[in-house]
Amino acid sequence: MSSHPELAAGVIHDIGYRRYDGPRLGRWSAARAVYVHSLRGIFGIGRPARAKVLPFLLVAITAAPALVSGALTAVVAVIPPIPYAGYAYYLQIAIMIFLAAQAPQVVTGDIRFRTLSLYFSRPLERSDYVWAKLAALVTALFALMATPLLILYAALLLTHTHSASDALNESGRLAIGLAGVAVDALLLAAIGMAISAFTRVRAFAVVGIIGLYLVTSSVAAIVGGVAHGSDVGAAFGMVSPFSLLDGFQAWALRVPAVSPLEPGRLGWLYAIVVAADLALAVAVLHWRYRRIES
Amino acid sequence: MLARVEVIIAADRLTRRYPGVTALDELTLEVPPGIVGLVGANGAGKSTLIKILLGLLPATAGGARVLGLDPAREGGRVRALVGYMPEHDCLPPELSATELVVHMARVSGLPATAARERAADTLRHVGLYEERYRHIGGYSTGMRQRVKLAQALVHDPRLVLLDEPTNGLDPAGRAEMLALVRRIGVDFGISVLISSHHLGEIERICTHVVVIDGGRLLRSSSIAGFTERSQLLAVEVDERADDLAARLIAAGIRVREDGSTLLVDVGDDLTYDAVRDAIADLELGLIRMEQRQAHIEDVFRAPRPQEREVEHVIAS
Amino acid sequence: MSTIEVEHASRWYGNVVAVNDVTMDVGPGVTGLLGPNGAGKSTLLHMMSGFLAPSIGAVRVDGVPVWHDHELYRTIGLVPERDAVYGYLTARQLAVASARLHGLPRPEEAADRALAMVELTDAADRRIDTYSKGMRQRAKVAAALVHEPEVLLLDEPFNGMDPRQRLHMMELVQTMGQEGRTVLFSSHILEEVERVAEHIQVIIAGRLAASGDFREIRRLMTDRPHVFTIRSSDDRRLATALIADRSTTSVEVGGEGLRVLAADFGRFTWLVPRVARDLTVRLREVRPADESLESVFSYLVTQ
Repeated sequence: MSSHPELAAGVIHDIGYRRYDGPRLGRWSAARAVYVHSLRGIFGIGRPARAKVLPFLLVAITAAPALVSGALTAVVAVIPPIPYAGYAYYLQIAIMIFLAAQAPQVVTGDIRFRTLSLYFSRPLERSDYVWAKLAALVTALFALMATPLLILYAALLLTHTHSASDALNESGRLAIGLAGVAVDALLLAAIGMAISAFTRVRAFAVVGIIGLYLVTSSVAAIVGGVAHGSDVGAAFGMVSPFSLLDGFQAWALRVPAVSPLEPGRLGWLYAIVVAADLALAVAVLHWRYRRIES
Repeated sequence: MLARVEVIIAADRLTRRYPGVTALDELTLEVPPGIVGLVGANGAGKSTLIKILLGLLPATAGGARVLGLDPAREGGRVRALVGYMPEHDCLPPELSATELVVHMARVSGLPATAARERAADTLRHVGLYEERYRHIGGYSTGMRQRVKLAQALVHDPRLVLLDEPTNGLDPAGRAEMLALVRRIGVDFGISVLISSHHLGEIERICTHVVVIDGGRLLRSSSIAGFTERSQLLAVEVDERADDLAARLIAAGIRVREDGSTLLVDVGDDLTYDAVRDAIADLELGLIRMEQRQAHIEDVFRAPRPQEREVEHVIAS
Repeated sequence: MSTIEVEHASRWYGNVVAVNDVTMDVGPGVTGLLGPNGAGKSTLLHMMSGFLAPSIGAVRVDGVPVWHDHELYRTIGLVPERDAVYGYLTARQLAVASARLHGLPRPEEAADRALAMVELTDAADRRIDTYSKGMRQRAKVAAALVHEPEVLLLDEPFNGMDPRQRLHMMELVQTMGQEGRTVLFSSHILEEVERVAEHIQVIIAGRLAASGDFREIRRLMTDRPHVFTIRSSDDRRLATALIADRSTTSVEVGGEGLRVLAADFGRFTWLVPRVARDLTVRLREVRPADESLESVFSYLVTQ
């Protein structure tokens, strides 16, 4: 039965080197590849199970209070749920641990193992690389901090809204909360990444981030607590990133401040400092990566 | 589509100065397609040249062209068409070879499917089979070099820059790597610029050699220009070389001694027969008889001291 | 004229035996210590220079054990592999310091002599951290030469050098050998050893695998046929005659000439010119194709 004479005769197929004449997508595609790769790395997707443990554990820890709060509110209506806008402040330790663990993971590896030479010998500019990595870390932090908000929202939607306008109001509050979380994610990611980019040793970066957090929150708590109510106290509130962000949200989004260090009259200053810190961290990052010998 | 280029890399009075040292000094050269060896550039000069060719560093003066493009202005396009295999370790240990090469293909601009397929093919071409799914952290030096080579080839470049590809490999590994490089240049049709300190290897596989010394071009020519055969025949016998020399001199042939080897002036083809017959008559063992060849290294040498003439009193 | 004697010396670190029952003599001239990375070359050199004691066995120079013999250190110079130099010193300062450490009466003169020998006189007053790799090596060699040692030990001296520097260093090593010093250098680059060393010592996984002239070693490898390439005016006729003889194991006729496996080296080399003459075949090239150090080495590694 031979409708294909060559099958009877025998063929050797050519599996030698093939040229590529297909599309070559440019910088944008390259940057997106770095973004996706980094984001997957942060959550350990596509890596062995042990790489997933810490990030997902922290997501669970961060979301747990939301679950509890949502359940409680559903059952006992008078207990108010945790506010959207203040959630990050309450969970700052868990968020900080996530940042300290994962920012170095994203960044220091390429420096330590000199993989940057492989990246930069491709049509990817150094700034593209920086933006892509930063975006990945921002996305990860946003996911970490938004998940509990979504859980709370779902719980409230199911149990406390009885009309369309209720639902709309709740959605509006959620949107405001998410906006706050977005700013949080931006600033924290930039700071975490900026610190991590200065060392080849991952452990140093972890310690550096945690150290910065501890020192700043202690200083802010002590001075802010002692000088509470005064402008000086309010000013020192800006030293710690979480109270800075909380105060900024209070001023910008008109939600009650959760941190004991309230901005008072200096809300506008908080906004400027947030912007300045963000700009500074990003600038430092770009400067650092321009200087790295790959 | 690029027009067919006759000159793969060109430099015109390319200069790069740092405070205190001039890495490249008015370097001017034209490199044809093929497998080209880059010799003699020390650390600063070599990495500077590579960075300039990839458009990662501006020149202090002069210019360069790669595949007809100016890397200073079209660096992105150059890097899309060039593959680079660094000398130093550059592989992340927690990824597998497949993951790394696919990712690098994406960063080079290949769409997802093409990246996966080409990564698989390229890893096969460099000789990585089941190992490719294991983490790079557990690889031997030879396997790592292959991964580095694979990521340089996966996006089908027109030119690959290989920086000391046989570093750290044992003799068997070096032979395999060189064979691979030759395949790339000859079978795959990709031009290769290979930088190496091992002149023997360069002589074995390169079609053209560029010699740089102190940031300047010392010599650039085809391999034949470096290894031309001379009119000297090197003859090595197992014993009594002096007797052989005497016999040849008696027959009117000029002979010099260089260690345990006799250097015979080849007047014409009959000299070969004279040597053969003299050895056979004297019942000596012929170990070696070959034309002396120049070497790349000779470019670095001061002129050789005269080989000493053999003086013989012909026994009567 | 000094001789280094190593007698059944071993050196271990816990369970790791770096040097395993090695016996060798190293006399005047240039000897190459060859082996793969991690074979024990550095350890052996450090034992010979008195920096390390053997766990068992003896390491002597001219009959006197080296370890802790401070008088003997005057006759030995070691150029270690690691970049163990202080970058803020100049080569001259380093050489003078070394001369002072050896208690030489006129350290500056000794330093000048040593620097001239390595041709670093012009750059001698620049800081070492401005030097290229080759110059750093030369600075180290100068510091090891100030006290005019009879024995000079160099650990991977050509590592990372570009061709010009390497050529210069090779000539330097050869010169010192010709002056009657006992020079021993280690390397894993076969090309270098082949060119510079008169004798070689091959170390594999801590054991001494072979000693002597590598061509002679090759001839001792009688369980492996020798490979020759031959080009002549009539390859086929020559091939027919060669294969008829018992010294020839196989002949391959190819476009580039003949590739012959010869089981009996002595008989084969005697046979070729005779057969060619008898057949009036012109020999153009006869080459032992596997007499490189590389081939000898890869054989020894698989022992």
